[in-house]
Amino acid sequence: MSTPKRLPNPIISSSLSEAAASGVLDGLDAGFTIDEIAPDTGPKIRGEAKFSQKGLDELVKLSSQGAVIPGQSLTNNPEQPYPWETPPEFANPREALDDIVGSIMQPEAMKNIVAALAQGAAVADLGTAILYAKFNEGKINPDVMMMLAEPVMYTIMAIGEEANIKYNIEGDDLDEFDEEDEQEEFDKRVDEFRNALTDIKKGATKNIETSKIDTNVVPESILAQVKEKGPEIKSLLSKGEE
Amino acid sequence: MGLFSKIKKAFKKITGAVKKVVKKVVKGVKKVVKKIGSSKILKALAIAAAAVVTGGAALGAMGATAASGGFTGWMVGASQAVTGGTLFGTSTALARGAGTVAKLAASPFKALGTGIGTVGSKLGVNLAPASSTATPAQLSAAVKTNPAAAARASTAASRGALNLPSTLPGASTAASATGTAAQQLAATAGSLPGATVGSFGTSAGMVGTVSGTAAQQLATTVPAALGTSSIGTAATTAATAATAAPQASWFARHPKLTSAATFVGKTVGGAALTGMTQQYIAGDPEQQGSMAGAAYEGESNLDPLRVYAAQQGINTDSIYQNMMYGNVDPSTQYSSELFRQQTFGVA
Repeated sequence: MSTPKRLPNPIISSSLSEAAASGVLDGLDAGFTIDEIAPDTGPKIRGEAKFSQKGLDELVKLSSQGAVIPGQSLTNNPEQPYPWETPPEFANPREALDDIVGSIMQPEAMKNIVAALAQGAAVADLGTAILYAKFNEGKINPDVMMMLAEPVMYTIMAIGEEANIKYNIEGDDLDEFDEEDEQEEFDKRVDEFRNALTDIKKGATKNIETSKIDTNVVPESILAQVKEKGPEIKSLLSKGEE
Repeated sequence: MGLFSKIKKAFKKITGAVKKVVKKVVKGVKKVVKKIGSSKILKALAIAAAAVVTGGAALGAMGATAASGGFTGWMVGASQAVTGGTLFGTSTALARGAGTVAKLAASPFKALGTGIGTVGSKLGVNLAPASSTATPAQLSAAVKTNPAAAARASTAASRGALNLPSTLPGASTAASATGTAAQQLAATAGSLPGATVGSFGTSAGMVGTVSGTAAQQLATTVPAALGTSSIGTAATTAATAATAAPQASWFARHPKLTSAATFVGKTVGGAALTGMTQQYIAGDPEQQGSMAGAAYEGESNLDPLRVYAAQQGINTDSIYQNMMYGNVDPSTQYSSELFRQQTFGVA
Protein backbone atom coordinates (compact mmCIF):
# COMPACT_ATOMS: atom_id res chain seq x y z
CA MET A 1 0.00 0.00 0.00
CA SER A 2 1.36 3.37 -0.98
CA THR A 3 1.94 6.03 1.62
CA PRO A 4 0.14 9.30 0.97
CA LYS A 5 2.44 12.20 0.23
CA ARG A 6 0.37 14.66 2.18
CA LEU A 7 -2.70 15.23 4.29
CA PRO A 8 -6.07 15.72 2.59
CA ASN A 9 -6.91 19.20 1.43
CA PRO A 10 -10.01 20.79 2.88
CA ILE A 11 -13.01 20.47 0.59
CA ILE A 12 -15.62 23.18 0.38
CA SER A 13 -18.56 22.29 -1.83
CA SER A 14 -22.28 22.81 -1.87
CA SER A 15 -22.86 19.38 -3.41
CA LEU A 16 -21.93 16.09 -1.81
CA SER A 17 -21.25 14.50 -5.19
CA GLU A 18 -18.73 17.16 -6.01
CA ALA A 19 -17.18 16.94 -2.56
CA ALA A 20 -16.80 13.18 -2.99
CA ALA A 21 -15.28 13.65 -6.43
CA SER A 22 -12.85 16.21 -5.01
CA GLY A 23 -11.97 13.77 -2.23
CA VAL A 24 -11.25 10.98 -4.71
CA LEU A 25 -9.16 13.23 -6.95
CA ASP A 26 -7.33 14.59 -3.91
CA GLY A 27 -6.58 11.03 -2.82
CA LEU A 28 -5.24 10.16 -6.25
CA ASP A 29 -3.12 13.30 -6.21
CA ALA A 30 -1.78 12.41 -2.76
CA GLY A 31 -0.46 9.12 -4.07
CA PHE A 32 -3.25 6.57 -3.68
CA THR A 33 -4.12 4.34 -6.59
CA ILE A 34 -7.73 3.85 -7.59
CA ASP A 35 -7.46 0.22 -6.43
CA GLU A 36 -6.48 1.42 -2.98
CA ILE A 37 -9.37 3.84 -2.87
CA ALA A 38 -11.92 1.35 -4.16
CA PRO A 39 -10.42 -2.09 -3.57
CA ASP A 40 -11.60 -5.01 -5.63
CA THR A 41 -13.66 -7.37 -3.54
CA GLY A 42 -14.36 -10.01 -6.12
CA PRO A 43 -17.44 -10.50 -8.24
CA LYS A 44 -20.43 -8.56 -7.05
CA ILE A 45 -23.85 -9.85 -6.15
CA ARG A 46 -26.33 -8.64 -8.74
CA GLY A 47 -29.23 -6.86 -7.12
CA GLU A 48 -31.58 -7.65 -9.93
CA ALA A 49 -35.19 -6.65 -9.62
CA LYS A 50 -37.40 -9.66 -10.22
CA PHE A 51 -41.05 -9.59 -11.06
CA SER A 52 -43.20 -10.81 -8.22
CA GLN A 53 -46.86 -11.52 -8.75
CA LYS A 54 -47.35 -11.55 -5.01
CA GLY A 55 -45.87 -8.07 -4.71
CA LEU A 56 -48.01 -6.77 -7.53
CA ASP A 57 -51.14 -8.24 -5.97
CA GLU A 58 -50.25 -6.60 -2.70
CA LEU A 59 -49.80 -3.26 -4.43
CA VAL A 60 -53.11 -3.56 -6.27
CA LYS A 61 -54.79 -4.49 -3.02
CA LEU A 62 -53.34 -1.47 -1.27
CA SER A 63 -54.24 0.95 -4.04
CA SER A 64 -57.77 -0.40 -4.29
CA GLN A 65 -58.43 0.40 -0.67
CA GLY A 66 -59.24 3.93 -1.68
CA ALA A 67 -57.87 7.26 -0.64
CA VAL A 68 -58.98 9.74 1.94
CA ILE A 69 -61.96 11.94 1.16
CA PRO A 70 -60.94 15.46 0.14
CA GLY A 71 -61.17 17.69 3.18
CA GLN A 72 -61.09 14.76 5.57
CA SER A 73 -58.14 16.21 7.45
CA LEU A 74 -60.23 19.28 8.27
CA THR A 75 -62.49 17.12 10.39
CA ASN A 76 -59.58 16.12 12.66
CA ASN A 77 -59.26 17.57 16.10
CA PRO A 78 -56.81 20.50 15.88
CA GLU A 79 -55.68 19.69 19.41
CA GLN A 80 -54.30 16.36 18.19
CA PRO A 81 -52.31 17.16 15.06
CA TYR A 82 -50.36 14.62 13.03
CA PRO A 83 -46.64 14.52 13.84
CA TRP A 84 -45.79 16.25 10.57
CA GLU A 85 -48.17 19.05 11.42
CA THR A 86 -46.16 19.91 14.52
CA PRO A 87 -42.75 21.67 14.58
CA PRO A 88 -40.07 19.17 13.49
CA GLU A 89 -37.69 17.64 15.96
CA PHE A 90 -34.70 18.62 13.84
CA ALA A 91 -34.59 21.92 12.02
CA ASN A 92 -30.84 21.65 11.52
CA PRO A 93 -30.03 19.34 8.56
CA ARG A 94 -26.75 18.29 10.12
CA GLU A 95 -28.43 17.08 13.29
CA ALA A 96 -31.15 15.42 11.24
CA LEU A 97 -28.54 13.64 9.15
CA ASP A 98 -26.76 12.38 12.25
CA ASP A 99 -30.02 10.97 13.55
CA ILE A 100 -30.95 9.35 10.23
CA VAL A 101 -27.51 7.86 9.59
CA GLY A 102 -27.51 6.64 13.18
CA SER A 103 -30.74 4.80 12.63
CA ILE A 104 -29.57 3.42 9.26
CA MET A 105 -26.44 2.05 10.91
CA GLN A 106 -28.36 -0.06 13.37
CA PRO A 107 -27.72 -3.77 12.71
CA GLU A 108 -31.35 -4.60 11.99
CA ALA A 109 -31.81 -1.64 9.65
CA MET A 110 -28.55 -2.38 7.88
CA LYS A 111 -29.54 -6.00 7.44
CA ASN A 112 -32.82 -4.97 5.84
CA ILE A 113 -31.14 -2.41 3.58
CA VAL A 114 -28.57 -4.91 2.35
CA ALA A 115 -31.28 -7.49 1.76
CA ALA A 116 -33.40 -4.96 -0.13
CA LEU A 117 -30.48 -3.87 -2.31
CA ALA A 118 -29.63 -7.47 -3.06
CA GLN A 119 -33.20 -8.12 -4.12
CA GLY A 120 -33.26 -5.22 -6.55
CA ALA A 121 -34.59 -2.27 -4.57
CA ALA A 122 -33.23 1.01 -5.88
CA VAL A 123 -31.11 3.32 -3.74
CA ALA A 124 -33.40 6.25 -4.58
CA ASP A 125 -36.47 4.32 -3.43
CA LEU A 126 -34.85 3.29 -0.17
CA GLY A 127 -33.64 6.82 0.47
CA THR A 128 -37.10 8.18 -0.27
CA ALA A 129 -38.73 5.68 2.05
CA ILE A 130 -36.34 6.45 4.90
CA LEU A 131 -36.66 10.20 4.61
CA TYR A 132 -40.40 10.08 4.07
CA ALA A 133 -40.77 7.98 7.19
CA LYS A 134 -38.75 10.53 9.14
CA PHE A 135 -40.98 13.28 7.82
CA ASN A 136 -44.09 11.31 8.79
CA GLU A 137 -42.70 10.84 12.27
CA GLY A 138 -42.36 14.61 12.56
CA LYS A 139 -38.58 14.44 12.83
CA ILE A 140 -37.84 16.65 9.84
CA ASN A 141 -39.66 19.14 7.68
CA PRO A 142 -40.02 18.77 3.90
CA ASP A 143 -37.18 21.22 3.20
CA VAL A 144 -34.71 19.27 5.30
CA MET A 145 -36.01 16.08 3.70
CA MET A 146 -35.10 17.39 0.26
CA MET A 147 -31.71 18.56 1.44
CA LEU A 148 -30.85 15.16 2.87
CA ALA A 149 -31.79 13.16 -0.22
CA GLU A 150 -28.28 13.14 -1.61
CA PRO A 151 -26.39 12.29 1.61
CA VAL A 152 -28.80 9.50 2.50
CA MET A 153 -28.60 8.04 -0.98
CA TYR A 154 -24.81 8.07 -0.82
CA THR A 155 -24.87 6.39 2.59
CA ILE A 156 -27.03 3.61 1.16
CA MET A 157 -24.74 3.34 -1.84
CA ALA A 158 -21.76 2.99 0.51
CA ILE A 159 -23.55 0.21 2.34
CA GLY A 160 -24.21 -1.50 -0.99
CA GLU A 161 -20.58 -1.17 -2.01
CA GLU A 162 -19.32 -2.50 1.31
CA ALA A 163 -21.70 -5.44 1.03
CA ASN A 164 -20.33 -6.04 -2.46
CA ILE A 165 -23.66 -5.65 -4.19
CA LYS A 166 -24.28 -4.31 -7.64
CA TYR A 167 -27.28 -2.16 -6.89
CA ASN A 168 -29.85 -0.10 -8.77
CA ILE A 169 -29.61 3.63 -8.23
CA GLU A 170 -32.95 4.58 -9.69
CA GLY A 171 -35.43 2.15 -11.18
CA ASP A 172 -33.90 -0.77 -12.98
CA ASP A 173 -30.51 0.61 -14.01
CA LEU A 174 -28.21 -2.10 -12.79
CA ASP A 175 -26.03 -2.24 -15.90
CA GLU A 176 -26.42 1.36 -16.99
CA PHE A 177 -22.88 2.37 -16.12
CA ASP A 178 -21.43 -0.76 -17.72
CA GLU A 179 -23.46 -0.20 -20.87
CA GLU A 180 -22.17 3.35 -21.04
CA ASP A 181 -18.64 2.03 -20.66
CA GLU A 182 -19.23 -0.39 -23.50
CA GLN A 183 -20.70 2.34 -25.68
CA GLU A 184 -17.76 4.60 -24.90
CA GLU A 185 -15.33 1.83 -25.74
CA PHE A 186 -17.17 1.16 -29.00
CA ASP A 187 -17.16 4.86 -29.94
CA LYS A 188 -13.48 5.05 -29.14
CA ARG A 189 -12.69 2.11 -31.43
CA VAL A 190 -14.77 3.58 -34.23
CA ASP A 191 -12.94 6.89 -33.87
CA GLU A 192 -9.60 5.13 -33.95
CA PHE A 193 -10.63 3.27 -37.10
CA ARG A 194 -11.79 6.48 -38.76
CA ASN A 195 -8.57 8.26 -37.87
CA ALA A 196 -6.52 5.40 -39.21
CA LEU A 197 -8.53 5.39 -42.42
CA THR A 198 -8.11 9.14 -42.83
CA ASP A 199 -4.37 8.82 -42.30
CA ILE A 200 -4.13 6.09 -44.92
CA LYS A 201 -6.19 8.12 -47.35
CA LYS A 202 -4.13 11.22 -46.84
CA GLY A 203 -0.87 9.32 -47.15
CA ALA A 204 -2.01 7.49 -50.28
CA THR A 205 -3.30 10.57 -52.14
CA LYS A 206 -0.20 12.52 -51.24
CA ASN A 207 2.04 9.95 -52.86
CA ILE A 208 0.10 9.60 -56.12
CA GLU A 209 1.92 11.19 -59.02
CA THR A 210 -0.15 11.02 -62.16
CA SER A 211 2.95 11.34 -64.34
CA LYS A 212 4.22 8.02 -63.01
CA ILE A 213 1.04 6.10 -63.62
CA ASP A 214 1.38 3.53 -66.37
CA THR A 215 -0.85 4.54 -69.29
CA ASN A 216 -1.38 0.87 -70.11
CA VAL A 217 -3.14 0.48 -66.83
CA VAL A 218 -5.06 3.73 -66.74
CA PRO A 219 -5.97 5.23 -70.11
CA GLU A 220 -4.67 8.74 -70.85
CA SER A 221 -8.16 10.15 -71.24
CA ILE A 222 -9.04 9.14 -67.71
CA LEU A 223 -5.76 10.47 -66.39
CA ALA A 224 -6.51 13.79 -68.07
CA GLN A 225 -9.87 13.85 -66.36
CA VAL A 226 -8.21 13.09 -63.03
CA LYS A 227 -5.80 15.95 -63.54
CA GLU A 228 -8.58 18.27 -64.57
CA LYS A 229 -11.13 17.43 -61.86
CA GLY A 230 -8.62 16.58 -59.13
CA PRO A 231 -10.25 16.97 -55.70
CA GLU A 232 -13.75 16.86 -57.15
CA ILE A 233 -13.41 13.16 -57.83
CA LYS A 234 -15.10 11.24 -55.08
CA SER A 235 -14.70 7.72 -53.99
CA LEU A 236 -17.31 5.20 -55.05
CA LEU A 237 -17.94 4.60 -51.37
CA SER A 238 -18.27 8.24 -50.44
CA LYS A 239 -21.55 9.70 -49.32
CA GLY A 240 -23.56 10.93 -52.29
CA GLU A 241 -24.98 14.38 -52.61
CA GLU A 242 -28.35 14.82 -51.02
CA MET B 1 -52.77 18.45 -5.57
CA GLY B 2 -52.23 17.73 -1.91
CA LEU B 3 -49.09 18.32 0.12
CA PHE B 4 -48.04 14.68 0.03
CA SER B 5 -48.36 14.38 -3.73
CA LYS B 6 -46.31 17.52 -4.15
CA ILE B 7 -43.64 16.22 -1.80
CA LYS B 8 -43.51 12.90 -3.60
CA LYS B 9 -43.18 14.61 -6.96
CA ALA B 10 -40.49 16.96 -5.76
CA PHE B 11 -38.63 14.07 -4.17
CA LYS B 12 -38.70 12.07 -7.37
CA LYS B 13 -37.25 15.02 -9.19
CA ILE B 14 -34.46 15.33 -6.67
CA THR B 15 -33.52 11.66 -6.71
CA GLY B 16 -33.44 11.80 -10.48
CA ALA B 17 -31.22 14.84 -10.28
CA VAL B 18 -28.90 13.08 -7.85
CA LYS B 19 -28.45 10.26 -10.30
CA LYS B 20 -27.63 12.75 -13.03
CA VAL B 21 -25.06 14.42 -10.79
CA VAL B 22 -23.53 11.05 -9.94
CA LYS B 23 -23.24 10.27 -13.64
CA LYS B 24 -21.71 13.64 -14.35
CA VAL B 25 -19.18 13.27 -11.57
CA VAL B 26 -18.28 9.74 -12.69
CA LYS B 27 -17.61 11.13 -16.16
CA GLY B 28 -15.60 14.00 -14.67
CA VAL B 29 -13.38 11.65 -12.69
CA LYS B 30 -13.05 9.38 -15.69
CA LYS B 31 -11.55 12.20 -17.67
CA VAL B 32 -8.82 12.59 -15.06
CA VAL B 33 -8.27 8.92 -14.31
CA LYS B 34 -8.03 7.05 -17.58
CA LYS B 35 -8.99 3.48 -18.31
CA ILE B 36 -11.21 2.89 -15.31
CA GLY B 37 -14.67 1.41 -15.27
CA SER B 38 -17.53 3.60 -14.17
CA SER B 39 -18.56 1.17 -11.45
CA LYS B 40 -15.11 1.44 -9.89
CA ILE B 41 -15.40 5.22 -9.81
CA LEU B 42 -18.90 4.89 -8.41
CA LYS B 43 -17.52 2.77 -5.61
CA ALA B 44 -14.77 5.28 -4.88
CA LEU B 45 -17.34 8.07 -4.87
CA ALA B 46 -19.67 6.20 -2.54
CA ILE B 47 -16.81 5.52 -0.12
CA ALA B 48 -15.61 9.12 -0.21
CA ALA B 49 -19.15 10.48 0.12
CA ALA B 50 -19.92 8.26 3.09
CA ALA B 51 -16.70 9.45 4.68
CA VAL B 52 -17.80 13.04 4.15
CA VAL B 53 -21.37 12.46 5.34
CA THR B 54 -20.60 10.60 8.53
CA GLY B 55 -17.10 11.75 9.22
CA GLY B 56 -15.92 8.21 8.61
CA ALA B 57 -18.01 6.73 11.35
CA ALA B 58 -20.23 4.81 8.93
CA LEU B 59 -17.31 3.27 7.14
CA GLY B 60 -15.61 2.52 10.41
CA ALA B 61 -18.76 0.79 11.52
CA MET B 62 -18.79 -1.28 8.38
CA GLY B 63 -15.14 -2.19 8.87
CA ALA B 64 -13.91 -0.49 5.76
CA THR B 65 -10.27 0.18 5.08
CA ALA B 66 -10.06 2.92 7.67
CA ALA B 67 -8.55 0.64 10.22
CA SER B 68 -5.83 -0.52 7.85
CA GLY B 69 -4.72 3.03 7.12
CA GLY B 70 -6.01 3.17 3.55
CA PHE B 71 -7.72 5.97 1.69
CA THR B 72 -10.65 6.13 4.09
CA GLY B 73 -8.35 6.27 7.08
CA TRP B 74 -6.38 9.02 5.38
CA MET B 75 -9.54 10.97 4.61
CA VAL B 76 -11.15 10.60 8.00
CA GLY B 77 -8.10 10.45 10.20
CA ALA B 78 -9.36 13.18 12.44
CA SER B 79 -12.69 11.47 12.91
CA GLN B 80 -11.05 8.16 13.75
CA ALA B 81 -8.90 9.87 16.34
CA VAL B 82 -12.06 10.90 18.08
CA THR B 83 -14.11 7.72 17.75
CA GLY B 84 -11.29 5.22 18.01
CA GLY B 85 -8.25 6.47 19.74
CA THR B 86 -5.01 4.87 20.76
CA LEU B 87 -6.74 2.61 23.24
CA PHE B 88 -7.30 0.15 20.42
CA GLY B 89 -3.81 0.31 19.00
CA THR B 90 -2.32 -2.82 20.51
CA SER B 91 -1.85 -5.79 18.29
CA THR B 92 -3.02 -8.62 20.44
CA ALA B 93 -6.16 -10.44 19.51
CA LEU B 94 -7.50 -9.65 22.92
CA ALA B 95 -7.09 -5.95 22.49
CA ARG B 96 -8.71 -6.13 19.08
CA GLY B 97 -11.68 -7.93 20.52
CA ALA B 98 -12.04 -5.64 23.49
CA GLY B 99 -11.43 -2.65 21.27
CA THR B 100 -14.23 -3.63 18.96
CA VAL B 101 -16.65 -3.91 21.82
CA ALA B 102 -15.58 -0.62 23.30
CA LYS B 103 -15.93 1.05 19.93
CA LEU B 104 -19.40 -0.34 19.51
CA ALA B 105 -20.37 1.04 22.83
CA ALA B 106 -18.62 4.33 22.18
CA SER B 107 -20.12 5.23 18.85
CA PRO B 108 -23.69 4.92 17.68
CA PHE B 109 -22.56 4.51 14.08
CA LYS B 110 -20.43 1.54 14.91
CA ALA B 111 -23.13 -0.73 16.10
CA LEU B 112 -22.69 -3.25 13.36
CA GLY B 113 -19.06 -3.99 13.96
CA THR B 114 -16.53 -5.27 11.52
CA GLY B 115 -16.62 -5.74 7.80
CA ILE B 116 -20.07 -5.94 6.34
CA GLY B 117 -18.38 -6.54 3.01
CA THR B 118 -16.29 -9.42 4.21
CA VAL B 119 -18.74 -10.85 6.66
CA GLY B 120 -21.99 -10.22 4.87
CA SER B 121 -23.22 -13.63 5.86
CA LYS B 122 -23.65 -12.47 9.41
CA LEU B 123 -26.52 -10.33 8.29
CA GLY B 124 -28.52 -13.43 7.67
CA VAL B 125 -28.58 -12.70 3.96
CA ASN B 126 -26.60 -15.19 1.99
CA LEU B 127 -24.79 -12.58 -0.07
CA ALA B 128 -21.07 -12.53 0.18
CA PRO B 129 -18.94 -14.99 -1.75
CA ALA B 130 -16.96 -17.30 0.47
CA SER B 131 -14.47 -14.67 1.53
CA SER B 132 -15.41 -14.31 5.13
CA THR B 133 -12.36 -13.96 7.31
CA ALA B 134 -14.04 -13.37 10.63
CA THR B 135 -14.53 -16.16 13.09
CA PRO B 136 -17.99 -17.01 14.33
CA ALA B 137 -17.00 -15.69 17.74
CA GLN B 138 -16.00 -12.35 16.22
CA LEU B 139 -19.24 -12.17 14.30
CA SER B 140 -21.38 -12.83 17.26
CA ALA B 141 -19.36 -10.37 19.35
CA ALA B 142 -19.74 -7.73 16.69
CA VAL B 143 -23.42 -8.18 16.14
CA LYS B 144 -24.35 -8.36 19.76
CA THR B 145 -23.68 -5.06 21.40
CA ASN B 146 -23.68 -6.74 24.76
CA PRO B 147 -20.28 -6.22 26.39
CA ALA B 148 -20.77 -9.25 28.56
CA ALA B 149 -21.26 -11.49 25.53
CA ALA B 150 -18.15 -10.09 23.88
CA ALA B 151 -16.15 -10.42 27.04
CA ARG B 152 -17.21 -14.05 27.25
CA ALA B 153 -16.04 -14.56 23.69
CA SER B 154 -12.69 -13.05 24.56
CA THR B 155 -12.03 -15.61 27.25
CA ALA B 156 -11.43 -18.33 24.69
CA ALA B 157 -7.81 -19.42 24.80
CA SER B 158 -7.33 -18.72 21.10
CA ARG B 159 -8.32 -15.09 21.52
CA GLY B 160 -5.89 -14.11 24.20
CA ALA B 161 -7.58 -15.48 27.27
CA LEU B 162 -8.30 -12.38 29.26
CA ASN B 163 -8.56 -13.56 32.82
CA LEU B 164 -12.01 -12.25 33.55
CA PRO B 165 -13.91 -13.49 36.54
CA SER B 166 -16.36 -16.13 35.55
CA THR B 167 -19.19 -14.28 37.20
CA LEU B 168 -19.85 -11.47 34.77
CA PRO B 169 -23.54 -10.81 34.38
CA GLY B 170 -24.85 -13.53 32.17
CA ALA B 171 -21.51 -15.31 31.99
CA SER B 172 -22.57 -18.03 34.32
CA THR B 173 -26.01 -19.05 35.21
CA ALA B 174 -26.86 -20.01 38.70
CA ALA B 175 -28.33 -23.47 38.76
CA SER B 176 -31.98 -23.33 37.90
CA ALA B 177 -33.66 -21.10 40.43
CA THR B 178 -37.37 -21.32 40.78
CA GLY B 179 -39.98 -19.53 42.76
CA THR B 180 -40.87 -15.91 43.10
CA ALA B 181 -38.56 -13.16 41.89
CA ALA B 182 -37.36 -12.59 45.42
CA GLN B 183 -36.66 -16.29 45.89
CA GLN B 184 -34.78 -16.48 42.58
CA LEU B 185 -32.72 -13.44 43.47
CA ALA B 186 -31.86 -14.94 46.80
CA ALA B 187 -30.74 -18.14 45.10
CA THR B 188 -28.65 -16.42 42.39
CA ALA B 189 -27.27 -13.47 44.33
CA GLY B 190 -24.06 -15.26 44.92
CA SER B 191 -23.21 -15.29 41.22
CA LEU B 192 -23.38 -11.50 40.80
CA PRO B 193 -19.96 -9.83 40.63
CA GLY B 194 -18.93 -8.17 43.78
CA ALA B 195 -21.82 -9.62 45.70
CA THR B 196 -19.60 -11.52 48.03
CA VAL B 197 -15.96 -10.67 48.38
CA GLY B 198 -14.62 -14.06 49.14
CA SER B 199 -16.50 -16.11 46.62
CA PHE B 200 -14.32 -15.36 43.58
CA GLY B 201 -10.86 -15.84 44.91
CA THR B 202 -8.39 -15.52 42.13
CA SER B 203 -8.35 -15.93 38.37
CA ALA B 204 -5.42 -16.69 36.13
CA GLY B 205 -4.82 -15.55 32.56
CA MET B 206 -2.53 -13.51 30.41
CA VAL B 207 -2.22 -10.75 33.00
CA GLY B 208 -1.18 -13.16 35.67
CA THR B 209 -3.02 -14.15 38.76
CA VAL B 210 -5.25 -11.55 40.33
CA SER B 211 -7.53 -11.73 43.28
CA GLY B 212 -10.45 -9.90 44.78
CA THR B 213 -13.99 -9.31 43.72
CA ALA B 214 -14.95 -9.36 40.07
CA ALA B 215 -14.84 -5.57 39.92
CA GLN B 216 -11.39 -5.48 41.46
CA GLN B 217 -10.11 -8.13 39.09
CA LEU B 218 -11.49 -6.30 36.09
CA ALA B 219 -9.95 -3.03 37.25
CA THR B 220 -6.57 -4.71 37.13
CA THR B 221 -6.79 -7.05 34.18
CA VAL B 222 -8.54 -4.95 31.53
CA PRO B 223 -6.21 -1.91 31.65
CA ALA B 224 -3.21 -4.24 31.77
CA ALA B 225 -4.42 -6.15 28.72
CA LEU B 226 -5.12 -2.99 26.78
CA GLY B 227 -1.80 -1.46 27.68
CA THR B 228 -3.30 1.49 29.52
CA SER B 229 -2.77 2.66 33.05
CA SER B 230 -4.84 1.24 35.84
CA ILE B 231 -8.40 2.48 36.08
CA GLY B 232 -8.11 3.02 39.79
CA THR B 233 -10.96 4.12 41.92
CA ALA B 234 -13.91 6.13 40.79
CA ALA B 235 -12.60 9.18 42.59
CA THR B 236 -9.26 8.92 40.82
CA THR B 237 -10.93 8.55 37.44
CA ALA B 238 -13.07 11.58 38.05
CA ALA B 239 -10.02 13.56 39.08
CA THR B 240 -8.19 12.45 35.94
CA ALA B 241 -11.11 13.45 33.77
CA ALA B 242 -11.23 16.84 35.39
CA THR B 243 -7.57 17.51 34.80
CA ALA B 244 -7.31 15.92 31.35
CA ALA B 245 -6.45 18.20 28.48
CA PRO B 246 -9.65 19.13 26.64
CA GLN B 247 -10.15 17.90 23.09
CA ALA B 248 -9.03 20.56 20.64
CA SER B 249 -11.97 22.29 19.01
CA TRP B 250 -12.96 21.56 15.43
CA PHE B 251 -11.61 24.95 14.40
CA ALA B 252 -8.26 24.24 16.01
CA ARG B 253 -8.03 20.91 14.23
CA HIS B 254 -8.83 22.43 10.82
CA PRO B 255 -6.72 25.58 10.65
CA LYS B 256 -6.87 25.91 6.85
CA LEU B 257 -10.62 25.52 6.67
CA THR B 258 -11.04 27.84 9.62
CA SER B 259 -8.95 30.54 8.01
CA ALA B 260 -10.95 30.18 4.77
CA ALA B 261 -14.24 30.36 6.65
CA THR B 262 -12.99 33.32 8.66
CA PHE B 263 -12.03 35.11 5.47
CA VAL B 264 -15.46 34.50 3.96
CA GLY B 265 -17.12 35.52 7.21
CA LYS B 266 -15.07 38.67 7.40
CA THR B 267 -15.81 39.59 3.79
CA VAL B 268 -19.55 39.05 4.05
CA GLY B 269 -19.77 40.62 7.50
CA GLY B 270 -17.65 43.55 6.36
CA ALA B 271 -19.94 44.24 3.40
CA ALA B 272 -23.01 44.18 5.63
CA LEU B 273 -21.39 46.49 8.16
CA THR B 274 -20.33 48.92 5.42
CA GLY B 275 -23.91 49.15 4.15
CA MET B 276 -25.21 49.65 7.65
CA THR B 277 -22.65 52.35 8.47
CA GLN B 278 -23.51 54.22 5.29
CA GLN B 279 -27.15 54.24 6.27
CA TYR B 280 -26.27 55.64 9.68
CA ILE B 281 -24.23 58.38 8.02
CA ALA B 282 -27.12 59.15 5.65
CA GLY B 283 -29.19 59.85 8.76
CA ASP B 284 -32.30 57.89 7.99
CA PRO B 285 -32.99 56.05 11.23
CA GLU B 286 -35.96 54.14 9.83
CA GLN B 287 -33.87 52.44 7.21
CA GLN B 288 -30.96 51.38 9.39
CA GLY B 289 -30.08 47.77 8.85
CA SER B 290 -31.89 47.50 5.57
CA MET B 291 -30.04 46.34 2.51
CA ALA B 292 -28.08 49.01 0.73
CA GLY B 293 -29.35 49.73 -2.75
CA ALA B 294 -32.78 48.24 -2.18
CA ALA B 295 -35.48 49.72 -4.38
CA TYR B 296 -37.52 52.15 -2.32
CA GLU B 297 -40.19 54.18 -4.00
CA GLY B 298 -39.10 57.73 -3.36
CA GLU B 299 -41.59 60.47 -2.61
CA SER B 300 -40.45 62.35 -5.69
CA ASN B 301 -42.27 59.77 -7.80
CA LEU B 302 -45.52 61.16 -6.45
CA ASP B 303 -44.70 64.77 -7.37
CA PRO B 304 -46.40 64.90 -10.82
CA LEU B 305 -49.58 63.54 -9.29
CA ARG B 306 -49.49 66.11 -6.49
CA VAL B 307 -49.01 68.95 -8.94
CA TYR B 308 -51.93 67.72 -11.02
CA ALA B 309 -54.12 67.22 -7.96
CA ALA B 310 -53.31 70.72 -6.72
CA GLN B 311 -54.26 72.17 -10.14
CA GLN B 312 -57.56 70.29 -10.16
CA GLY B 313 -58.34 71.05 -6.53
CA ILE B 314 -58.26 67.39 -5.58
CA ASN B 315 -57.18 66.27 -2.14
CA THR B 316 -54.56 63.54 -2.55
CA ASP B 317 -55.91 61.77 0.52
CA SER B 318 -59.08 60.98 -1.39
CA ILE B 319 -57.37 60.38 -4.70
CA TYR B 320 -59.09 57.04 -5.23
CA GLN B 321 -62.44 58.79 -5.33
CA ASN B 322 -61.28 60.75 -8.36
CA MET B 323 -60.61 58.12 -10.95
CA MET B 324 -58.76 59.42 -13.94
CA TYR B 325 -58.48 58.29 -17.49
CA GLY B 326 -54.88 59.29 -17.88
CA ASN B 327 -55.11 62.77 -16.46
CA VAL B 328 -58.67 63.32 -17.70
CA ASP B 329 -61.88 62.61 -15.82
CA PRO B 330 -63.44 59.52 -17.48
CA SER B 331 -66.88 61.10 -17.25
CA THR B 332 -65.91 63.44 -20.08
CA GLN B 333 -66.05 60.43 -22.39
CA TYR B 334 -69.56 59.36 -21.44
CA SER B 335 -71.28 61.35 -24.20
CA SER B 336 -68.78 60.69 -26.97
CA GLU B 337 -69.95 58.15 -29.53
CA LEU B 338 -68.00 55.20 -30.64
CA PHE B 339 -66.47 55.12 -34.12
CA ARG B 340 -68.99 54.32 -36.85
CA GLN B 341 -68.55 53.40 -40.48
CA GLN B 342 -70.82 52.62 -43.38
CA THR B 343 -71.59 48.98 -43.96
CA PHE B 344 -73.01 47.11 -46.96
CA GLY B 345 -76.58 46.18 -46.72
CA VAL B 346 -77.37 42.52 -47.15
CA ALA B 347 -80.45 41.67 -49.18
